[in-house]
Amino acid sequence: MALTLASLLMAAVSGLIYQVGESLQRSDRVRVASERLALVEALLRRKIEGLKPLGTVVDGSATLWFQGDPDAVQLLATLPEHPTQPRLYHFRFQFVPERKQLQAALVPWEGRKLPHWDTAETVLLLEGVERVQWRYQAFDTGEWQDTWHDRRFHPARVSLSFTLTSGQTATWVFVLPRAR
Amino acid sequence: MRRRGGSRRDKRSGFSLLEVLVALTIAAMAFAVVYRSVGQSVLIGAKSRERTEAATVVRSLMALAAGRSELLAQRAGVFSGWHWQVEVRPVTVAWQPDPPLVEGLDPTLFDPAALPPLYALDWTLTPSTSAKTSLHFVSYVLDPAF
Repeated sequence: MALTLASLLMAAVSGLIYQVGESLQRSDRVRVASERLALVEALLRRKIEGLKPLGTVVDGSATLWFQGDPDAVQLLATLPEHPTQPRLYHFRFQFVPERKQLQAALVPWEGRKLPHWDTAETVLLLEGVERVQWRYQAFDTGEWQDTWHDRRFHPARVSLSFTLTSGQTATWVFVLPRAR
Repeated sequence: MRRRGGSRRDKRSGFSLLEVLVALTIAAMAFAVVYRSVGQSVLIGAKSRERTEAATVVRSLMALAAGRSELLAQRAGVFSGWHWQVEVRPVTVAWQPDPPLVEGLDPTLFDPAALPPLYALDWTLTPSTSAKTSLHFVSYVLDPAF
């Protein structure tokens, strides 16, 4: 009887130790994922909400360095956070479905030259991304659209909706200086 | 004879079953306390994660309302998996310090009528999945229609 009790207590203590370890690991994973999301949101907010009307001249007309597609957005902004080369960069925030990642591709700005994305430095923003949808709100009509290829004006707002493989979904909305 | 004596010595030097049971009970109690504190820590982590997520929702709602005074009239809705409610209240700011901050400075520079009205937005957010938690935030905006 006493031996059975001792064995049961031992099993309970072992179970508790296991549960504590599991809980701590799970909590740690959730915390890291949450901090990562907050960091990425803050980075995108800084880049998009602080966007300057930077562009170039193509065929005599001013052309903004901004282009929006459902799975990627391209823009020109400074990157003071860069560890070795803080300067102006062409950014492309893109969804890579085969890797289930949201990445930032960076190409240093070289005046009027178009960026060569095949030489871009890539930075992993989010892992375990199932779906991404960028959308763009027109300033004059207020309508949301899936692409933005108007090279004269920035959109009023940009939204990013995504679903993670964990099932978590979120939508982030960024307002551009023009709409404030 | 020697074997019997040796066996007596072995009995004295070991733990009795009662001692083992008492030790295990104490260990179990200690682990229960540890488990409880770990549970609390996990709960705090989850709350912190919820708060971080809710803050991004508020920033997105502010981005949607920016420059559009009519959106301040909308007081509740659902966005990105969160029910939100907002109360808008005007905030009075004392712009004329006494004594003046800089001697000889034109006091009309601090004319409150020349400044856009300031509003405080009291946000209440509740996750759509559970109505138990409500989170509160305050943000400030200048009247976009000014």
